[in-house]
Amino acid sequence: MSLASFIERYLPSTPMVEYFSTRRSFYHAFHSASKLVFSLSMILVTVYLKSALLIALMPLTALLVMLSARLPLRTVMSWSLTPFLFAVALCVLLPLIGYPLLDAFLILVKAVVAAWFMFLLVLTTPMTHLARLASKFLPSWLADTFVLASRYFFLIFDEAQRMVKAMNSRGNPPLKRKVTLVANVMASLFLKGYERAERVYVAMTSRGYRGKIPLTSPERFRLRDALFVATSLAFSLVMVYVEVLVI
Amino acid sequence: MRAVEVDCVEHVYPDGTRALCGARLEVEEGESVAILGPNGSGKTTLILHLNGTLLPHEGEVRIFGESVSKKNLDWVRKTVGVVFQNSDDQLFMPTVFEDVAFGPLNVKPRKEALREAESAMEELGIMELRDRVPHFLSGGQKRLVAIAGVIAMKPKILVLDEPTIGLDSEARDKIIWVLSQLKKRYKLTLIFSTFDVEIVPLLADKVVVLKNGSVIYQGDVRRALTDTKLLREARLDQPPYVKLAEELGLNEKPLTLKEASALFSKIIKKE
Ligand SMILES: Nc1ncnc2c1ncn2[C@@H]1O[C@H](COP(=O)(O)OP(=O)(O)OP(=O)(O)O)[C@@H](O)[C@H]1O
Ligand SMILES: [Mg+2]
Repeated sequence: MSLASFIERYLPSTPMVEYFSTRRSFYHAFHSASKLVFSLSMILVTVYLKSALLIALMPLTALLVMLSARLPLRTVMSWSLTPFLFAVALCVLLPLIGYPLLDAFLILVKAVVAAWFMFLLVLTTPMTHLARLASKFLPSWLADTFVLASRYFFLIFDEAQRMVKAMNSRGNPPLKRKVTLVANVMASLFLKGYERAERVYVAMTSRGYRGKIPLTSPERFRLRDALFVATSLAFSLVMVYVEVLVI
Repeated sequence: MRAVEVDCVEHVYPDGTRALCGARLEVEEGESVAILGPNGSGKTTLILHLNGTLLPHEGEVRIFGESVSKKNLDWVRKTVGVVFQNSDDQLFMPTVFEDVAFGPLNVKPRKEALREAESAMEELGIMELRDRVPHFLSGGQKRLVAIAGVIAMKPKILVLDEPTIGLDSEARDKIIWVLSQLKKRYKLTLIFSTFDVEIVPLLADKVVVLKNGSVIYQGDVRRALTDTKLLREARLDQPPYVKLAEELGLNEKPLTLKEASALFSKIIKKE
């Protein structure tokens, strides 16, 4: 498998993320702030828990919510491979330095489940809403940069892939030459990126851009959001309570 | 009223390439103009001058009499909508609807803005693409969305760089139809560059031919498209019916299918 097709399959790509995050479902309809609270609190709880039984509940919760958001489980599973491999690399070392095998395994599970809750947030919240949320903490031009970067990163990635393919189809150069060629590819991508950025900027200003990307549907924090946030926090507390006092 | 005046514009790119040397042209309000010319003749460079993406090193570009400069770029860009050749350069929002609504939302109250975005999409017949992600659209669909995003701003002058390049015949027909509708419905001034000689008589009232950065012809569509020498200089094919009429030694040179069928049925009846 080539690097490019590996990346396509096993790493989240922004076009795919955009595709899923702009669909509609019961879960998509929550306010981005409440989805953020949910994902963060679930991640914190997952990291905190120690009992295997309770930890096992967390991936189940993630899967249930993903199903209710009509997310493609297969895709999410392929995207979990990278965090999984990272965690594996770490966890094989732990038993060697005296950790019990079960604990090492639980850390592995925790890492993957945390990734799932992040995917859940990103795959159900449009980039523009995340940027708007981020602009509460960051200057809005920086938040807008994320929206644009997410759109153009993969265009540039596609371009790089095409250039590498074009190079390979004209013979397989020796390594030394390959290195200079790759350097050239990088340079020309940088130039292309620069020219594109200029045109994108013109396109944006000619359509009235004044330093803040407008939202087509502003979000409203509704009663169901309040209930959802309350439930997430209550669920977290119950898990922690059971962990500390019962087990 | 003169919508566009390009007055002796010179443009030299940073690497020293002289892309425009003393180009001159005039476009009246409501007129449609096709810019023809071989590769590298400066069509794109000229188009980028019309909304101040590039500024001339010498000479002047005037939009409705106002000289384009750094000071009035906002107004110029609101008046002149440019559709770039590569649609990816102007589709920057995560979904089609957000992209089309981007412009109106920047300048109008929300309700009105959303209505305008929707009507621009209806105008181009792309309502069903509403929630799609631009990255996954076909070239023709991207082009239509890019046009929708520009016309949603209601520019007085619409400029397109090679609007039909790389499209299949259905997408191409759709673009032609859309542009002729826009022209008819609003008093839109239309300027487009192209190699596609068949669309010229369907859309243009006037032809401008560029070569090596200079305007070598400006005027009548019929005269341009039947002038073999001029077409050869612009490295363009003759339109197919003109070619056929020439083969048959006819004096009359039909430019479009409509004209050709009228001519040939007249000839058939005579025999
Ligand atoms: N960014 C640039 N830097 C340097 N030279 C450039 C740049 N863009 C265009 N040129 C040069 O300017 C001249 C005119 O280019 P331009 O792109 O305007 O031609 P064009 O008529 O649009 O061609 P095409 O039909 O191939 O699109 C060409 O010689 C080209 O090489
Ligand atoms: Mg060009």
